[in-house]
Parts: sequence; C-alpha cells; structure tokens
Amino acid sequence: MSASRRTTSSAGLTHLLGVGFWLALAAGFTSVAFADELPARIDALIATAAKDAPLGATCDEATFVRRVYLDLAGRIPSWREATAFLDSKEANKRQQLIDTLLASSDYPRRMQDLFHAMLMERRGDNPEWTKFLQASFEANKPWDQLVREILDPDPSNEAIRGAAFFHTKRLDKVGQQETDYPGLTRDVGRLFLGMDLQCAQCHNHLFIESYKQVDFQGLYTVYQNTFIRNDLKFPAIGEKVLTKKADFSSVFDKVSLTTGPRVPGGKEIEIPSFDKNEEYLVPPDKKTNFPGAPRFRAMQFIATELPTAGNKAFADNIANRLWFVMMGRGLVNPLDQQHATNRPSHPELLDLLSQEIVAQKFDMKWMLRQLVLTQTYQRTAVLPAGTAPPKPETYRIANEKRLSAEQLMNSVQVATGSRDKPREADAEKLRVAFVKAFGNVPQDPEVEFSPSLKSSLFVLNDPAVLDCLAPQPGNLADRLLKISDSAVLADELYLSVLTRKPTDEERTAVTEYLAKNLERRPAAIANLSWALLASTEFCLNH
Amino acid sequence: MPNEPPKPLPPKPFTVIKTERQISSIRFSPDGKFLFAAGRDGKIHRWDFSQPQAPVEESADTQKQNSKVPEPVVPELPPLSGHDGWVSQIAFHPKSPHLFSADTWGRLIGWSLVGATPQSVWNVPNAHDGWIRQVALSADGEQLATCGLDKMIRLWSTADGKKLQEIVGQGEDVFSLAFHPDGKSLVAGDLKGIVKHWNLADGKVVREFDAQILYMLSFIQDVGGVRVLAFDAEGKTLAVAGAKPASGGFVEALPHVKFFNWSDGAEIQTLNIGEKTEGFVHELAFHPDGYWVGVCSGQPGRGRFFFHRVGEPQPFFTADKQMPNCHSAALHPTGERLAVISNAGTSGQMKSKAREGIYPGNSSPIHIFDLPKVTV
Amino acid sequence: MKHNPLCKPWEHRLSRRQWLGGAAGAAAGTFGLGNITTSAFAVDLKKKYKQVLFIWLDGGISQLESWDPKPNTEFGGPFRTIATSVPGVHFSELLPHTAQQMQHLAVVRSLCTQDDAHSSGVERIQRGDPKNRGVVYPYFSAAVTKLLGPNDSGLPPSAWIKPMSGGFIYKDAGFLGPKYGSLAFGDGKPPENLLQHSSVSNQDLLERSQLRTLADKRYSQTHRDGATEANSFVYDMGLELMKRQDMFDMSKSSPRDVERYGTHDLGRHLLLARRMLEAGVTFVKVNSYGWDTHGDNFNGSLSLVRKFDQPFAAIIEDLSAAGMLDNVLVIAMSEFGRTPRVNGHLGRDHWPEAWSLVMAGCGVKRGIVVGSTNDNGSYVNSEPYDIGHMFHTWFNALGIDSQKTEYNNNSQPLPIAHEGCHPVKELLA
Repeated sequence: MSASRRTTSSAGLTHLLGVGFWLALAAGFTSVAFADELPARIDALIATAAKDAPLGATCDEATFVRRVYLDLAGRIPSWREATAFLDSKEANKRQQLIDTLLASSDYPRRMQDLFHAMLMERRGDNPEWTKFLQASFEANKPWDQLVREILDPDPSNEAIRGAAFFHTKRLDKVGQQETDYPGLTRDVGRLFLGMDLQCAQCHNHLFIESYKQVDFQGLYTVYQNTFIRNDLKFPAIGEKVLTKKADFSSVFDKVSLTTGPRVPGGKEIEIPSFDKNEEYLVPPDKKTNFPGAPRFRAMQFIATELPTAGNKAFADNIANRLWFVMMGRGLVNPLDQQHATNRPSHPELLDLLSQEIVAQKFDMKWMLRQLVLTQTYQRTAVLPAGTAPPKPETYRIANEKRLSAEQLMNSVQVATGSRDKPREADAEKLRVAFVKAFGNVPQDPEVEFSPSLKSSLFVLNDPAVLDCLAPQPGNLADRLLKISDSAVLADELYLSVLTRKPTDEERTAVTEYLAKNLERRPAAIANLSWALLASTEFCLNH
Repeated sequence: MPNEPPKPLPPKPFTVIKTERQISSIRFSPDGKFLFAAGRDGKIHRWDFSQPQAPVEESADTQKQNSKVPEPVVPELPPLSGHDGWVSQIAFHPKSPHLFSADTWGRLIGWSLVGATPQSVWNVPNAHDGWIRQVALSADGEQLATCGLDKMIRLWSTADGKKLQEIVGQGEDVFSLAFHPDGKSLVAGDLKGIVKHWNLADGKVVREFDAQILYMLSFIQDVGGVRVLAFDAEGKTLAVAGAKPASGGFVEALPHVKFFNWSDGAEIQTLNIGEKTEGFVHELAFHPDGYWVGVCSGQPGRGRFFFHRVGEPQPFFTADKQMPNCHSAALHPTGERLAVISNAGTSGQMKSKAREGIYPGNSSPIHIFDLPKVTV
Repeated sequence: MKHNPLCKPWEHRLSRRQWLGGAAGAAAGTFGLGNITTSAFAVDLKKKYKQVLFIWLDGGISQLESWDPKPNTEFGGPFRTIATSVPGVHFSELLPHTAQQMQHLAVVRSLCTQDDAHSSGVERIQRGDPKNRGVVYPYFSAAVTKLLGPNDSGLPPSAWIKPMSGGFIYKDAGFLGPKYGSLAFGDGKPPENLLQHSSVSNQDLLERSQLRTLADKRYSQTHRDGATEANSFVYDMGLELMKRQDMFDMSKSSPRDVERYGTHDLGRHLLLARRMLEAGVTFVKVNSYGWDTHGDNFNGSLSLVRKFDQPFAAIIEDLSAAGMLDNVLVIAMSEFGRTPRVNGHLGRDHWPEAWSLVMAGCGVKRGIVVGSTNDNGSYVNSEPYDIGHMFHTWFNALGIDSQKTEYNNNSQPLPIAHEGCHPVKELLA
C-alpha cells in the first residue's frame, strides 16, 4: 500500500469524524493527560483555526523518530537507534524518546548550531562565541539571560565574554565600506524583537505603521557609539562616552527630532551629564590601550530594558522563533516582521506561547518539549490526496523543514556509519566544508530549503561525501556488501539513510538494479546509497 | 670627509614663465640664448634669454610666494608649427644651429635656426608608426637616433633626414635611448624594464642591463618603463630611471634610479626618491660640475627636483617644497641655470561649465633657477 | 537623499522569503515570470533565446582614447585616429582591430550621467539609476535573467567572469532577491568540485543521477511541490557544468583563438565568455579592472585599450560569423568616462558629463554612431542620454517593452527602467 493511499484514507476519516472527535483522539496519542496543558491547548487553537478543513494524521513511527532526532539531536537516528524505537512496544515511547533526547549531549550541541546560524547568519565563527553558546545551552540558560549577556557582554567573565562576537563581527569593516552600525542596529531589532526596522532609519515606515523612525534611532544612538576593542585578544566591544541625543529627521518632512537611547516602544532614557573627568568609571589608559569604562553605558541600559518579561515584542519573538524551529514556519512570517499589519496566522496561539514562555522564565528547553509533544508537531507531512495542499500557515499537515548544514553533516555521517571517526581537527574542517556548501550567503537567514549549484557539486564530487561511501569496517557500505539477499539489503539501506523501510516498489527497484549489476556490486551499492543521500527526502525534515 | 666634493648652494628662483598649455620637454640652445619647449599643443615654444628683461611691475606672479621683487620677464618668440598630437621631444645639434623635433604621430622635423625665424629643412612624416618616445644626438652631431612605441629604433642623418640605420629587436615599446659619448654604442630602454646595449657597427645587442623593477603588470595594464637613459660626460656611468610601480590606474610609483658602471656593467647604486605618490623620474641631466639633476612627477601636486652625486646615499639637494609634476628639466650649457617645468591648473572632475565656455585646461609653468657656482 | 547604506536589498519587502525559494545558490528553483506584469512578451521571448554579453571596464575607459577621439585638439591627447570599416567613422588608433568590426557596432557618444564616484557610480550605472523609491534595483544582469526567464541550457543563467575571487554574488540582484545573483568564475576558473571524483565512473554518475531522480519523483508524489524541483534543478545544473568543464580549460583553445584573444586576463576571459554564450548562458558579464587612469593615462590607455581591442574585435567577429550576434546583445562600458582635461600626472579624472559606450547585436542597429560631443569633448552637443535611456534601449533590443513591463515587488509596481528616460529609437534596428 502506497503512502499516498494511506494518507487518503486517514485524512478522509479525520474529516468525517470532525474536529471535536479528532481532538480527543489527539490527546490520546500524545499521552497528555490534561486538556489544559499547553500541548493540548496549542492543538485546540490550531484545530479551531482550521475550522472544517481536515487535519493530517499523526505521522508514522519511522517519520517521528527521524523528525524528533533531527530537531532535538541535530541528526538522524542511527539504524540501531531507529530499530530500537520502532521495535519498542512501550505505549508512551514517543514522549520517552523526547525526554531522552532533551537530556542527551546531542541536544545542547544542536541548540548551539541552531542559534549560531540564527544569530550570526553565517557571518563567520569564533571559538569564544562557540564556547559561550555551548556553555549556555548545556546549562539551558534562559533566553532573557542569554540575550542580556549578548547585549552587554562582560569581558571580565571568561565563560560568557565571547557573546561580544555578535557585535564585533557585525562591526568588522569590510573593504572600503563604512562600519555597518545601521546593520547592527537592525539585527538587534530583527533577532531579539522580531522587528526589521531597516526602513525606519530614514523615515517612519511606509507600510508598517507601528515601526517608527524613533524606534530605529533610539537603538542606533546606542550602537553608533560602540567600537571593537583592540586592547583584548578576544571579541570585545567598547562604548564611547555618550553625551548627546541623536538628531534625526525624516527624509520626507525634514522635521528635526532627537532621541536618547530607547528600546523600541519603550521609554527614552535621559543621558546623564557628568563633570569633566567624571564621565568615566575607569578612565582610558593609553599604555594598555584600555578605552575606558564610561559611567553611563547605553548598552547596559538596553540590556536591562530589552530582554524582559514585560517586553511583549521580546517574548513574542522568541516564542515565534521556537515555533518556527519546530513547525517549519513562524506564526509571524517572516520572522522579523512582527507588526500590526502582518498579523500572526494564529494570534491567540502566539499570545499563549508568549505568556507561557514568560511564565516559565524563558526556559527554551521546556518550550521545545511542549511543542514537540503537540499533535501539531507530530502530524504527517504527506499531502492529502484529492484536495489542494493545505497552506503552510494552517499547520494542517507538518511543514517540511530545511536541514541545516550541520544537520546534514551529522546525518550523512550517521547514515553512512562514519560518525565518531574524525579527529577534532578533521571534524572542524568537515563542518566548514558543509557550511560552505549548504549554508546561505552571509546575512541571508536560513529559512527555506535552498539547494544550490555549490551544494549539488559538493554532493556529486566532494570527497567529504564520497569517501563515506567507501567500505570501512562496520560502516554502511561494509554492512551492505555482506548482505546477499537484495531485499534485506534494501531494508537496511533505507533504514540507515532514510530511517524507514522501503516500499515494495522501492525494494523491487533495488533488487532489480542489483541483479543487473552483479559484476559491479560494490559500485552499485555505492550508487544506491549516494542517490538516497542526494535525495530531497534526505535533505528535508519531513 | 676630506675628499667630499664641494656642494653648490641651493638653487635660487629666477623667474617663472607661464604657458598657456602643457609642455612635454624643454631644452636650452647650446649657445644658452634660447629655451625651447615641446608643447602638448603640437607646437614648439621659444623664449629669448639673450637679454633678460627688466622686471615689469604688473607681472608680480601669484604663484611665487614671499616675493616682493617683481620677476624678470623673458620674452616669448612665436611658436613653430608643423607637428601633430603632442610634440614629444626636441633636441639641439651640439655644434651647428639646428633643432630636431618629434611628435606622437610619428613625424620628425629638422629645423635650421639660422635667421630670425627657424625654417624646417627636412620633414619625415612617418619616421615611426606613431609616438616617437625619444630623440638623441650623437656626440659629433652627425646622427639622430629615435625610438618609439612601434618598438623600432632608427638612426637618421641630421644633415638631410635620411634614414641611416634601423635597429630591430628591442621587442617592446621603446621609451628611451642615449648615445654613448664614444659614438659607437647606443642604449635603449623599454616598457618592460630591459635596457639593451646596441653596437652601432653591426646593429647587434652587446649586453642587457636589468631594470625590470621599473615595470609591473597591474591587472592587464603594463605600468612603468625605462623613462630615462643618460650618460655622464665621460660615459663612465649609465643612469637608468623611471619608477618602481605599485599600482596601475592611479599609477602609484616610487621614483627610482639605477646607476651602472659602463665598463663592466656592474650596478653602482640604486636610488629611491620620496614616496610612491611621487611617480616617475622623467629627466636626468648631468651637470658640468659632476652631479645629476633629476626631476620626478607623480600624482597631481606631487613632484620634485633633486641633485645627486653618484655614490652618496641620498640626493644632496631635494627641493624641500613639492613642485607640482615636474616633467622635464633643462640645464643651461654653462650649468648656471636650470629650467624645470611643473603643472598648474585644476585636476579632478568638478562639475563642468564647459557649456558656458568655461573649461580650462592645465598649463606647465616653467620655473627658472640660478644655480650658484660651486664654492670651494 | 543621501546614499543610505541601510536601504539595501530587501527594504520595503514584506515577504522576501516567501517567494525566494532557492536562495544562496545559482538560482535554484524555477524562474517563473509570475511577478512581472505584461504577459505578452513572454511568448515572444520563447521564439529565440536572447543573450547578453556585458563587458565592464571598471574604473572608466577614456572615451578620447577609444570611441570619441578628438585628435589635434586641446584635450585630444597624443594619439592619432584611424578609419573604421564604416566610412566617416573614426576611432582612436588604440582600437585597430575593433575598427575593422565597426560594421557590427553601434557607438553612443552622448552619454551624460549623474555620478562621478566609483563607489556609488558602478552601482548606479549597473542598476540603471532609476528614480529613488527606497528600493534597491537589480543590476542589469539580474534584471535580464529575471525578465528573459530561463532557457533550456541547463546552465546558470547569469555568469560573471572576473579577475580574483569567484563565488555566488547575490547582492547585485537587489529586490529581486539572491536567486537572481550571478555565479562568479574567479579568474575564469570553474566552481569548486566540478571535477568528477576518481571513485565514480561515468556509468556510476549516470546511474546515480537516475536513481536520485527516481527517489525524488517518488517523494514528490506525496509531498509539496517545489523542493524536489529545486533539488533536481541544481543537480542537473551541476551535471551540465561537469559535462562542459572543457569550457574552462584554456589549454584546449585553438592556437588561432589564443592569438586572436590574447593570453592576458581580459583575452582569456572573453574567450571563456564566448564559450559560455555558445553553451547557452543567458547573461555573461566580463569584468576588467584597473581602468581608473588618474595618472599616466596615455601609457595606461596604450596598454589597456589595446588589450581590450584585440579580444573584443575577436568576439564580435566570432559571434557574427556564428550567426549568434542576431541574438546576443553585446555591451562594453564603464561607470563613466574620463575628463577631457589632462591633469598634472598626465591622467584623466572621472567624467560622467560626456562619454561613450559601444554595443552590438540583438536588435541594435549596426554600423552607426549616435550622438556627439563638442570640439574639445567637454560636453554633449546632441541630446544627452543617461543610463536610463540605455536601459530602455537594451530592454527593447531584447524584445522587452521597457515602457509597459513592470516589476511587481510585492504588489509594488516598479518600472524596469527610469520612467523619465526612453528608448533611443536611432539605436534600435
């Protein structure tokens, strides 16, 4: 029976039984005991918004195990891990797996990769920054604290000083271009408030009434006053003494306005004035190149005022971004266009998530667990037959998600059985190669599936991929070569690479292909494996 | 040091001759009475130095600073026509009253300077295919050598303009050449920084001097070239000059001179002058008192002239103030006077009023200095 | 309005990522004509593939030492002029080979543009200097690949051959989004990983491709459209480029080509450009750097212009001989010309007020000179043309009605060329 026919019947059934019944069914599936717990409330809001439109069935076990490994561990499960899950008879095995993965050492590493790509947008790497992220996610640091550490990095704290890389990399001068203070300002808005204030630099936004020029300028005042410190060997950012408000005027009406440091939507702070020589807490030192620590630091003000429970944009932004990570599409989409004229697809849901994450003191692991436990998360990505594909923002079926370069690297290694082999230096080289091949260009958010010529040539010809297909003791190629029964071979191949059993059709195709190529069996096996690694199915979290 | 040769006093500004247009090259006549200039307007300009005129009150030159005394005015004579493009080079016959001039379209003209108005006595329209880079007279004045961007070196009879000899094989755009005082050899320097010593008897290369440091390829642009070749009075030292290029386009280049010992070809000295904004050494002249007078010109406003005695680490005199863009220098035959051309006018791309008829070009003021005699 | 460093590609666009599809690569996904209004031209375009060769002489070629010589005038410089194959038309003597191809060319001597700085000038010219609407317009390359749509060559639609580094250059695409960026071949070299791995035979490669296609086909039967399509597109393009990797191997050039194009960068890159055009790349841009001859302009031009002359004449001759010139629009230009005035460094500075460019082929009239400058070249004394006029002209030469076609930037209609300008009828065949 083909996947598509299976879907037809279950989707049809769901439709017939109606939403009310389906909700009860969903609760049963996810083992969430109480309907007032967050996953159930999420599912209810999704179902309500879907009205009469049918919702997709729960995905099968194989899809689930692959999906949740990719999302929480940053890789596909090995064939052993997959088999263990599929063979398990535990009624509660999905939730158990979720908790196992959240507790595993793969989880903080996955979060580190995810937030590195999200916050740095492939501008580059830095070991101090990596250390900061790693420690943060190992400790499940609350988001507000993490952002506070980024917005006002403490160079005296070795564990977190690398957070300054967020700023210093953006302030790096590239060629003859001016230092991109507006870009840094913009990214603070985009990434922590979900607000792209770019157009509000020169005028109140033309289309977005809620983005005011003063919102941009209030932050810009802060960041145009910063600089990369050159007295320290690690990334560090300094601030000049801020003495006056920023003057600005709209390019349209030319009316002159001023503002001091201000969080968008918040209150402006008066810039304190000090007597001469009193403006520094620690004065500059020419001998050591120490730039001085001003008594009033606007970055400190922003770090105190921006990442707070009371700042709705801040809470909405992280709720929306975590939702995006798990569900493949932001409730607010694009992620940095949170404003009144770009309403969330499910406003009440965003409010709910936002309130909940505030209530949980910005505990991201908690929030991700809630999301993964939902039926919405666990729905199939298979299209219902006979009707138009549901719009992605309805979440009626699961949205396919792009695999990041890091997820692909890890998954290729797991699939081909070559994981754990490379030494640390080789692993880093491999990571750089995968990021180069699969990462977006710098500053372009990695949101959608974006295969490219460089990624295809990488998979076609780069030894980083092709070497994995050569037999090594115990790896996929080695195991497959030892299997004489082609049908068994097909099963093992599909389970290892795509984390599922082949369909009958696929099994037959493998058998026939191998039969035709008896005299070049090793090459044929490598070709079969390669084709699955290069397939869209492998490159997506579906 | 006891043997240190005497130094001349610093040059003393005598006057500045204004020109309407830019000038490539200047020369004093062997009798010292005239200054001729190769114009980038296709004309040969002339000034009469035989009777220095009394200063004229209203001529107080704005370019000359701190000068309360009005400058002497040197009368200008009518220019000579007959060339196209730019007059690139002029050279006087060492013994008879003749002038030879070349242009960038390939024409070579012999002039008689007998009488009030010089007359063309011969005229070769296509002496080279295009730009004639340099002309040089043999010591006896019988032969005129020319070279050009057509990669050719040719020798001409100064008497009638007949072609005497053709030297093929320099291989590149030939920027410079000079006769050795013995009359038997010719050196020629090209774009790529190769200086070839040619034997005039058989037209063959005797040896090469390496000055490839004067060349670079910047993207697809060939930059540099041997801009100057000159011998000292006795022919013992060969000076090879140009610049060490740092980039094309703007052409950043560090003025650079190499001195070679003629007898054994050994490099005696390498001289870097100033900064890489100061460009090419455009002229080197050997002073009767045994030192070299050179000029260089770089980016707009940047240029200087300098006096150097071979063997000393640095020029013993360098004009302390930048003189904009010195493209040529001429020594008076007695060595008592020096003429240096500079540049005046705007550069850059300021908004044009050309449509209203306002679009001035640049000119080349000629700075005349007195060189006080060496005192021992 | 002051140049705003922030109002860059994606300003005012609400849902860039919605339609972006395949970012960050050589134009993954489909090149729909969906966000262009005027549907009629799309049909016309399908009749024949139009292509563009865009030669960019970065820094500013001197019009006086090339297309608009003023011999024996105050600012005319040292060079002679030469006759061309079209009676009455003269070039600088530095263009001897190109002069023999004048019967194919159209020279515009009456450009008068707005910007005299490189940093902003390059962008303004290549984006067509449209009216400021707070959006960043695409470079001509991105505009053309967008407006012409895909052809079936299987190759990247926009290639950029340049000295130094390569990679995917996406910022040129402006509001059209990274998908319309160019694949840059640094120093004319192929992209990484173009060489087939030693462990993979041709048969393996073929079978891998078939097996992958089969897998993607199965997956697409039950999943949303788009992803498998994009995946297949980039694999097909990769395989196509692998098949044509000889294109990059200059050692396989015929001695005749080597002689005619030259062995310097611009010669090699124009030869590669010809091969790419032959292979079906829609837009090939070739950059040459170092034309900013503020100093020693005449010796500089001797070298630069002559090194342009030879391969440019060769490619015009070759495209014409192959019958390709009918469908390939060739343009050679800079961000501005150079001052008539000669500065003290014997250089010419930036001059947007009166300068020239040359074009040929595809819908452009042949063997003509349009416009003129005054005697000393300091101003245009015919109707001055801005870059907007050229954009209109080029679009029309490519069969795109520049006054009717608009971009649809998230329902913000945007003219494809400055609406204050118009096509230059004289230039159009």
